[in-house]
Amino acid sequence: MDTVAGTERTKGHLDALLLALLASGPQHGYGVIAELRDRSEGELDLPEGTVYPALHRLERAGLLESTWAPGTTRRRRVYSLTAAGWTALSAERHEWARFSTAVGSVLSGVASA
Amino acid sequence: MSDAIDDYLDELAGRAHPGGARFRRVLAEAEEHLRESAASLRRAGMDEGSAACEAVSRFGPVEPLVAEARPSATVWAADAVRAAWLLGSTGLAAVGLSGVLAWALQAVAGARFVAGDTNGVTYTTARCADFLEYYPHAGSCSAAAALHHADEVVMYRVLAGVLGLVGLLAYLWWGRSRTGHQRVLPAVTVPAVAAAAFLLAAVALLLSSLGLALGERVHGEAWSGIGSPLSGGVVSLVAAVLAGLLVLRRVPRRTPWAEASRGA
Repeated sequence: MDTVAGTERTKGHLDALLLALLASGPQHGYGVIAELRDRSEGELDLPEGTVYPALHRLERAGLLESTWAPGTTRRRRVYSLTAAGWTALSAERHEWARFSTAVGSVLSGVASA
Repeated sequence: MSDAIDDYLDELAGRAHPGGARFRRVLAEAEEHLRESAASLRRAGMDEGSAACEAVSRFGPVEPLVAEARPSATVWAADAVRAAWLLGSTGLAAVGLSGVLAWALQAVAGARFVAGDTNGVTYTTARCADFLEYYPHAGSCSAAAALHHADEVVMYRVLAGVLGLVGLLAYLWWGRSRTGHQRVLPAVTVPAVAAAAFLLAAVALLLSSLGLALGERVHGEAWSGIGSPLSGGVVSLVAAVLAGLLVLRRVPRRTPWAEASRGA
């Protein structure tokens, strides 16, 4: 994947990706970005610092909550989904399924009746 | 010795607005992330300097974090209200003090000195009767008018002072109950504005007193009505000096990042 295009594409879906990554349990920012890279096998990559403004924005929107927790060398901010976050994730998954099906249909040349 | 991570954090601290909760959180998260990333890279075989550089490179430019660390408009507005409240309350308290001083001047030099009318001021018979009804022992219409005006000067100013004290008490209570309130205005803001405002008031009021004194001398009358602006001018001057001293104490001499770069 072209690096710039890939980064921009990832940023476009960053909120949904962060919600999905945190669905597996509370995580701090470094863990979130590491898991994003692992789960996508390196395909989804972006400057690591950009994840924090996104996490803060989702927290202000009430989709995440966070708390300080002791880390290996210093305390770290750990994020987790709120009830509203779970609802938003469910909606994002549904929306993505519809969108990817539609795009897949167009790209594969299947015409709807 | 500073490394690439320290340099990055110094740049973030230097470009973001320091002091707010957002700033502290962004800085703490960035440092934690960068240190953990560098440690992971060292475990993978990189030397310390290269690991720090690579961690910074992966973290990306500082701009998104600088924007995130910037206090919101709500935080700015809340701090501006706090500062305005403190300034307003302090101003009213100073007005109250000038009322007390006017009362003392009245006791020493008489009501005419504090609020006597200047030459040429006359009252209707009905108005004189009103003054003399309240101050039957004044002896004359002008003396009764001076007593009336002086009492008004003292009473209204002291009432303003009581309001200012209530405002200051409310400010203190608010400050103690809202420990999470973010201070985004520089600490020097309130004393600097207060010093400027009090100095302007002092100059205007003292010049007004001087004008009254010189004007009355020309006409050969006792100094009439000088005490009112004089009391305000004296209190304003003292308040301006005190606020100026606070400004000198609060002017930042060294910033944390200047210290850090000096020590590096």
